[in-house]
Amino acid sequence: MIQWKFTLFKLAHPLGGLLLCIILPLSTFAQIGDPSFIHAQKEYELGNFQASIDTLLRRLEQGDDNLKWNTQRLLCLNYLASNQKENARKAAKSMLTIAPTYRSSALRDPAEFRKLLESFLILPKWKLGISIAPGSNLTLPRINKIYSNVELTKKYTGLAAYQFGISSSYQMHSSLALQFGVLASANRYKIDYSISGWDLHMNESMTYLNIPLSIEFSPSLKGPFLPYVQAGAFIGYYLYGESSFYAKFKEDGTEYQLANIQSKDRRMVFNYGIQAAFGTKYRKRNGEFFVQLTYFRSMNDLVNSSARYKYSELQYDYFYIDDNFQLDNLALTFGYSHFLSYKIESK
Amino acid sequence: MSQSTTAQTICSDPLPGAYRDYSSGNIQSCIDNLLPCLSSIKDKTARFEAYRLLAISYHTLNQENSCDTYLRLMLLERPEYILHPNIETGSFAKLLSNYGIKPKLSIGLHSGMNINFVHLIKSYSPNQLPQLYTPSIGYQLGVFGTYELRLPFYFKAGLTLASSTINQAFKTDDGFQQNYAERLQYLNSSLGAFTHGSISKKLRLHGGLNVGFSFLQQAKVSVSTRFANNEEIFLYSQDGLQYRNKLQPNMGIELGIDYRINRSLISLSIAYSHYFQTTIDSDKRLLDQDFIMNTEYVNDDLKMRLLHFKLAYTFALTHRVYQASIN
Repeated sequence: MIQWKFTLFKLAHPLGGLLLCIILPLSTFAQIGDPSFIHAQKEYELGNFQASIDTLLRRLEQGDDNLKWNTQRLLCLNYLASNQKENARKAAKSMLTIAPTYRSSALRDPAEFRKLLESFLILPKWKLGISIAPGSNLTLPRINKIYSNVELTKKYTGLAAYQFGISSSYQMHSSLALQFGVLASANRYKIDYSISGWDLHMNESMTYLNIPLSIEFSPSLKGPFLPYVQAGAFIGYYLYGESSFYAKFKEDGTEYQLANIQSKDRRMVFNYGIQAAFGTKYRKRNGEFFVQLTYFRSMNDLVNSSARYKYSELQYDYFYIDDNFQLDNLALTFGYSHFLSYKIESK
Repeated sequence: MSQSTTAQTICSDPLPGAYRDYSSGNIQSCIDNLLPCLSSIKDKTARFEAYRLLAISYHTLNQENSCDTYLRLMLLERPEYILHPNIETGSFAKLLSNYGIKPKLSIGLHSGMNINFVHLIKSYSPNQLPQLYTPSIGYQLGVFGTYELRLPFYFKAGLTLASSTINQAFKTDDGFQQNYAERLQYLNSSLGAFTHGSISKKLRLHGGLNVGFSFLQQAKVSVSTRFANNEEIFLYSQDGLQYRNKLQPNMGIELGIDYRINRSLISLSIAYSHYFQTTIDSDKRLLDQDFIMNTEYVNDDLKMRLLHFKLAYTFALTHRVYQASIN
């Protein structure tokens, strides 16, 4: 029978530390499984710190993670009691590396030990999360060159759409992290133009799969809300897109349309650009919620110039020729990241 | 009034006193002082400590039924807890090693992409041309809930919003060229039975079967045609929803790997869904004569075969404590 097992101390819930803080002082009645650990603990309680340290040092790499971090904890207590501050610091750091979410207890941990633990900064190392912009991804068209077979004025309007995806980050430094992800980003815009009694409209929706890469800077502040800024680049791959064309002759009301025509061959497969963002995170023990405003600036024209004149129907019935344009985005996203691992730094 | 004030004062922070009683060997006093104050302990960490202290106290007094009660409460309070016998007391460690905890009811979110390997059942090409449908990429986003049984089996029910595409492109020697693209958007509800097995403390594999029904919401068709001996390309589009079978039963298989983090799972999986119904409603195949005349395309009998790649996040809402001897 396959049994479901949970890892307590590797996942480092602080409660594990608290529980063990109860156990250690109870060792006068309780039998503790590992004989070496029992011996080291008794030596500590009797004040034979060096003997306790010697026992623990012989078995540092033995046992599972639970035993290992408790070994480091007892080692640290011994070093503190024998005024070996540097060694105590190393042992405390080793303990937190194995059990990063350990929370000290006023009931169980000596004040000096608690103060030592507070001198470390425990940062998430690897994070994995999801982000969603539910209709809050605004497209901002930028026209570089207008193409038309007749004289007319086109009015481009960006529309709101969605964006969602996964993101991951690696904390390089207490204030700097490397962010990357995979996002499905919908771009929507419309064009309004008229000519010689005709009202014409075109709207297009394109979805790109974007891979952003950026550096995040977050100043070291106290408190659960942490502001941050990001800067980086992205590359996008065209997934699909559709254009719809509408024409109405104002004099007699004649209308015709060409709806949901696939625009794949008229567009560039890749879109690349730069991005910048600012946001704020609300950090909990094992993860964080975030809200972020990101500006994506495209660096290449999205029109496939070799297909610009491919469809004569668009030119003659709808007076439409693709202009050279780029699509920028302003996206307000909400998300959650889970901490997969941690790193310990001195404050 | 004074009694309730005294009771309030005693219960304002019962743990240090209970701990002192236990430390000095007054186990019964520890229990007697802690039990009445349990309901007043609001802090989760303190409540866990209280349950654990009661469990180990009852165990010390050989009152195993009461020990079992508080041990289970302790594990439900903190499902991530796992006992390592090296640290706990010998007999308590042994007792705890007989217990396990697993999620009972969980909810999750998944997103990913799909590839549609369209299955051509029968072609209705008016020109008797070979129909070449190419694999096409779509996306999906959904929510799900799971209910795990005592055995390592669980049921999973989900609701997914998905978009898939059907693409066809061909040309003939005489210059006839056609690109057909159809984008389908549907809501899929599914129910499945899964099993899992651990490969390490944090990793497990899962696999299972599911059945579902997709409710088609959109079917946008776009055709570009270049007729023989004609340089011009003609565009035609159709809102194909009214000509489609809107209810699509399907069945699937899924395999994946889960990474456990505290009460959550992050999963990567690959799944295959086989659709039993053709996309076109055969009774309505020839209804849109304008479409057929303008594009020289008649909808073939196609069935979808989707390969999904998913990333999911599952969070356990409730847990079940079990004794390994029962399992």
